[in-house]
Amino acid sequence: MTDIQYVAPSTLDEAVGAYAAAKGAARILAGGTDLLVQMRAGMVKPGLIVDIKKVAELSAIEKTPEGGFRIGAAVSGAVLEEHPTFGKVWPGVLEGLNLIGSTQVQGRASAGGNLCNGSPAADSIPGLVAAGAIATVQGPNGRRNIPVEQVPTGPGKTSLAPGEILVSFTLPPRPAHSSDAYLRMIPRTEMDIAVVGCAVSLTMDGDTCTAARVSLGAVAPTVLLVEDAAKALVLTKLDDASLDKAAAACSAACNPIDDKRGTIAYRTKVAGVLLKRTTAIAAERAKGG
Amino acid sequence: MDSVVEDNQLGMMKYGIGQPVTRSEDPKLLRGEGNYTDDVNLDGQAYGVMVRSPYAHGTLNGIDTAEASTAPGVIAILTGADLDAAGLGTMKCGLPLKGRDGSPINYVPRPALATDKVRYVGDPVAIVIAETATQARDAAELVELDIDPLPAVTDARAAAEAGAPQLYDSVSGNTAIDFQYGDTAKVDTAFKEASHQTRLNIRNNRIVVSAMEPRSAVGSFDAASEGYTLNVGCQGVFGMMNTLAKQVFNIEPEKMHVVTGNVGGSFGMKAGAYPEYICVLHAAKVLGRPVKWTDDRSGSFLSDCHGRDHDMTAELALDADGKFTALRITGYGNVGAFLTAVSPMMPTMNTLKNANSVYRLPLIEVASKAVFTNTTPVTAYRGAGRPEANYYMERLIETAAREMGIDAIELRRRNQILPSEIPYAAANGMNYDSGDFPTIMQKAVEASDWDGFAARKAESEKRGKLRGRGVGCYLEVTAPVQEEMGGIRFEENGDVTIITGTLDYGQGHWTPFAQVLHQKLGVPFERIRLIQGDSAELIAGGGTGGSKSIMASGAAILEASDIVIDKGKKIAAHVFETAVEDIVFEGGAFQVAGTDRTVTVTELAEQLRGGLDLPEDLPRDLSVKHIFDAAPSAFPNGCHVCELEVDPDTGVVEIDRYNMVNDFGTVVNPLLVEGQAHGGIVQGLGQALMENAVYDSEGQLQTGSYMDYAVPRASDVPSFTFATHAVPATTNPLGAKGCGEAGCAGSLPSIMNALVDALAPLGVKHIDMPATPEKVWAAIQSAKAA
Repeated sequence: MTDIQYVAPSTLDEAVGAYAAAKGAARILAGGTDLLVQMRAGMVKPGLIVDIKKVAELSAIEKTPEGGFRIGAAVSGAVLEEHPTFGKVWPGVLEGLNLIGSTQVQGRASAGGNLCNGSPAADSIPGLVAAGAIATVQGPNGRRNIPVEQVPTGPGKTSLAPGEILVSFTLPPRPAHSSDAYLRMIPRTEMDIAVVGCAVSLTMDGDTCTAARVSLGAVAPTVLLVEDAAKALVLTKLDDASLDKAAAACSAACNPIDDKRGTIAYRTKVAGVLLKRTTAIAAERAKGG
Repeated sequence: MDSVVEDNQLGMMKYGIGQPVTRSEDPKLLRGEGNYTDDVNLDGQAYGVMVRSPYAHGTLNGIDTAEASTAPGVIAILTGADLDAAGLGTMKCGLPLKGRDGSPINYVPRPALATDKVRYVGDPVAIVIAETATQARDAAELVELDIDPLPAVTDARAAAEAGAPQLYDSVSGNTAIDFQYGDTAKVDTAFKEASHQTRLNIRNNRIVVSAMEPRSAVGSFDAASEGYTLNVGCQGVFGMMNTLAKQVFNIEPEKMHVVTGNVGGSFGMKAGAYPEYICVLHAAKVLGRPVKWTDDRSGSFLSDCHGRDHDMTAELALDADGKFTALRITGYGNVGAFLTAVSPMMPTMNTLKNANSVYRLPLIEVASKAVFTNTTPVTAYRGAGRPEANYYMERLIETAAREMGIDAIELRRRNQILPSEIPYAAANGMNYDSGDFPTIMQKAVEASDWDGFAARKAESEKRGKLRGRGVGCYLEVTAPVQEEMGGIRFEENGDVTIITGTLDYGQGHWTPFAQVLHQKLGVPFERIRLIQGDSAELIAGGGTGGSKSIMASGAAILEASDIVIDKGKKIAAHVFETAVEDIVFEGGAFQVAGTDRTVTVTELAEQLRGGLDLPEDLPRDLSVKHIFDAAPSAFPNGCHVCELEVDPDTGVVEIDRYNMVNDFGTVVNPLLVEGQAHGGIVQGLGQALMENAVYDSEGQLQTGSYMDYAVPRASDVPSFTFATHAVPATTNPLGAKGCGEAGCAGSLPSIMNALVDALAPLGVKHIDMPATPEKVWAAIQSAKAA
């Protein structure tokens, strides 16, 4: 670990320039809760570390002109927690992010890092997918926007092109009586990696669900947007039959692995169980708001 | 028996016996001012890192150190050949345990570094010593091991079968001991004649000990005196000194100075000598400078001895009234690749001694093999056979009750030994001296709001949860006390130092030992110090283990105090110019009987320091070095009641209520005793619901870090309701019974019985530990399918 260069540029252009110039030998450092651990374990040996925390846009939380939120890719869970209104509008996004690690880790870890690390079990990502968040990325060829669910392409892999840096997440404005929730199942045969994570975002009109998005983590090579589950909920009163149908859609969408953390049968079943429970929490919050 | 407890107004003194005094060492520990082994840094010290086998089993053809020895900072690399050449001996298991045919343990010597074969992943092969720990770590990766892998076996039952890979040429069937106790023919007959038989196959899962402080050792050697010093965390410096001096280094014990500071947990694991200690001591001598070794957590998973890992069939025979007529436990205990000083005991003798529990049992048979496998050695772990045996018995009782349609409490009542039957000679050879088992169970039942269970269960059902309740009665046989030092030294500065050879590895001995001395001699509590971890101070020491420290050191302190009083009476008689017979000792003071002429122990010590003009035949000070002879085992017992909820959709288990009533005999410090119970329960909960060390077929430890091995956290644990129903032991001067391991013994059965109770309506009859959500969920699914 003796030949590592470290830069902490203050502009995005400088960051992209340095990152692109290193041609794959560089790694982005936000909170470092994945990168530094991987370096210590000898899993990655970057020639250059580009620390993006000094770039203002990557550390900002802003309201968009449309009334949504734009969250810098390097914003930590603890900082987002302290925002006066974000957690009221997007409690599920926030609870997903702040399920990660301990208090100390939450002071460093960012949703951007969680997304770029590419873990299928990333806890903050289902909430962003359910929220319909758009990721903004910038690279040598300019800036582009893509839905968050299109960023991960497999365990440890993303659709970001060489030299591209994740800049921010944009969350849409919320209609009245909308809310979201995230639940995960950790079987505690180990530390904190979900065997199933489920995020649901809803808009309610009285007892009727008028809009829904459902996302699952840890049950497939990438975090999933489960449109069939959402369809099963929309224009229903979230009655048992609709929930059963949505749960079945979640189970059907699963393409998990058998490993020491959970079997295929268990993950598939629990995905449906969590859908029901997460929906109930989100609906309760939406009616209250 | 002279009872210090009754003599001195139990509980009336602020720091007396029975008072919940907080731990004297805590302010220092909480401020980070403790002195753990890794805090010890000696002038000129070098750093050692172990090279370990990556294979579970293989022939060691060679060790190429050429590249590693030229790496930056490397000072030396030692292998097994170097230790052999220096004439170092091997670590031995000297237990007097006999097999069924009278043969001794199939003993295999353990060298510190492997020379011919490697026998588990993590088996130490070499030590690399460098100027810094990082340099040593980097260089250790450059050591090339030429190993021809051999087939491995990790399961005890499989290892005992014909055709299994053999770890040792000298050990047939990998069997260290084939143990049998009991009259097989009579037991067979009892089972044949039984009105009901209950049989369970029970896995006792393998545990990674997870002490907060990883093991560490600093070895040094003084050429002038030819004396070694080892700073190390252990469970008793006197035993460690003797083991290393006599078995390995072939020197007089006083040339092996063992020093232990604070210890961050051990649970049995740090009790014995380990290869690393021998390596740093020898390296220090060869290199002429101290050598330090500290494990990292990944190393701890492989190199610290593991716990449990038994595979037993437990059977209970009952007559038509539900009276127990015989108990039979047969099976296997996995001892790993090498024996520790105690490891053959747990699946054999300790299982036998504890399985009888609080019950009237005419016949018992235990027939089990302690078996070598290609895994990390297994040693004593909190309870060391006690929780295991109680777990078998209580699971049998609960299952028998369900099978026979008898209430489980009623079934226990019919079989519990009554106070009127005590002293009771149990079928396993134990002689119970005291106890009131039915009352304790009744108190636990009442404390748990037994009658409210139905309503709570109905309420759980409304929320879609399955509620279960389980009872775990237990009785443990503590380790007998061997020779233990009771030293009392009156220091120049007015402090009074207790010197004793038990060792605090987190329990907090200083406070309760000081309470005993304070109550007995009246010396100020805050002036009492404790020395345990310096072998140069000890003339005897049995170490800590088997829940015996308060009995051993407590008794040693009491007897030593009596000698202090005898000495003091002689001196006081001289001071008061009267006859010794006229001096009485009361309330911490020597008094001329019937007068107001008194002198306290503290005052007399002060006068002695100032220089009293004493005749030659009188002692010059009050200090005492005494050895307490022995006390037999005590029988702490109790009853735990656990209530839990199962989420049938996810298999998640949540403990909701936990009540216990315990008999620990005389309790010196109820605060620390309750803390011991809490800690034991939580460790039991970990084994019951979470912890499991898993090897793959090639002998690789799959659960090699906390990513894959869960220990309980505060959020997993309920609040405990603790009560005591004390019946003092008659077999030691304090009347104490020992409490350190009891939490595990009560919690394994109460939790697992509660879980099966919750799932029984679905048809689940047994579930093995750890009951992880996945396993519970799968059990529910297969019960539904059946």
